[in-house]
Amino acid sequence: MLALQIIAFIVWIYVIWVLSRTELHFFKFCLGSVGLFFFLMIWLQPLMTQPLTMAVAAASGVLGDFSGMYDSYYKYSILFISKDTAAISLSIDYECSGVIEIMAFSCMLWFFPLYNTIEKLILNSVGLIVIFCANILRLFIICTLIYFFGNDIFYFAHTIFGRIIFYLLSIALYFYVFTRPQIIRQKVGDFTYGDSNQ
Amino acid sequence: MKKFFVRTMAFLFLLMLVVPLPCFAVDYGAIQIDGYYDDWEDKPHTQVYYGTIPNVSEIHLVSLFRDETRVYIHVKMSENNYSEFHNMYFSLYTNAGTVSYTAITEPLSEKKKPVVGTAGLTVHLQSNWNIVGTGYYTRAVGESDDAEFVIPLSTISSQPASITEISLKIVELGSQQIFCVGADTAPYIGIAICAAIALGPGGYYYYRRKKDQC
Repeated sequence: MLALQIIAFIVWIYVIWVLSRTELHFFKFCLGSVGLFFFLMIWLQPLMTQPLTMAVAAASGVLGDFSGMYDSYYKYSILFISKDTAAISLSIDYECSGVIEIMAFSCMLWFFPLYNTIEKLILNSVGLIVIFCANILRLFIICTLIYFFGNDIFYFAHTIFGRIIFYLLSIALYFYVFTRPQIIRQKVGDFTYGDSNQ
Repeated sequence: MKKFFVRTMAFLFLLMLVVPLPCFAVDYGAIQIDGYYDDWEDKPHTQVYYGTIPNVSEIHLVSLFRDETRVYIHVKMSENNYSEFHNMYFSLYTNAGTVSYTAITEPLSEKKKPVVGTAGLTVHLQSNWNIVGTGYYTRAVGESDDAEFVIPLSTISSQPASITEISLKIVELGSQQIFCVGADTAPYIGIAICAAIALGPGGYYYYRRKKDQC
């Protein structure tokens, strides 16, 4: 299986190299980011998940301690919300940790043709922090709603409200990193206003 | 090629800076079902009782913990009145279905009095009485009973990874349910939305350029 992965990786590098030489930037971006995401999910995601879930739980716990609404058991990646008769353990697994979003963002960024390497390093760092903080905010909102409205609100808090907040922040990040510079930096050609005296 | 290699190296270096890789080998979450309960001390417990606080005579502590394939349960019986762990009926409610179980305790050795020590327990499915889980309970002088047991998630669903919400109710101890839930971001939907935003203008620009060339 590992041999197959290595062969696929070499083929992917060759295809990216060919697309670079032929200056097919759009296809290089698509194949490059999807391919890199695929290989990172296979090789790096198992290593990243546990420390990231612990980091998310620990950072969420700071807000929980500050507000007094929930406790963090960061060693086990658990947030524990307890009030009156309601008690719920929020388990942070790899789909909650933001690791997939971080990898997807990073992969797109590193094959995005508009930035140089230094810009990508800076934007990648900023993007990681934004996604991490957006996830913390999402979990804080879920825990706050459960604390005030009980276990019955969990489905709405988690499935609808928390995700909307997270998606809005992610879309804002993608807009500022990908969409806005494409519009600003693309060549629109020279233009002049017509001479009003003529 | 060289430029691509440098970028790849820079990207991997950045990931190494951000992610505390040395932590990955630490496995804090392991629970040993061995009749010793020290591995439950730093886990969250829920108070389970009947009635309304403060007018409650017995408050039991129950903890529910899960990993990818199993669910672990710890019960610390009330310090007063109902302090002994006996055969218990309980249910696990999940997003993949509800399953009821009975924990059957094996007898403690009665060679010496008072009857104290640690003995095993088995967890049976209510539906067909198959044994699906094992554990221990402990009785000591002047202390309430402890019990811990483990149940494979495969008894609920053939795909344990699909179980994201679990709640436990032990009707003999109290009315409260103990919830253990995941809070995933539905990452692939989010990525699809964001990728559409990222790719949209580029794809449109590429399409326009191709169209202009034609």
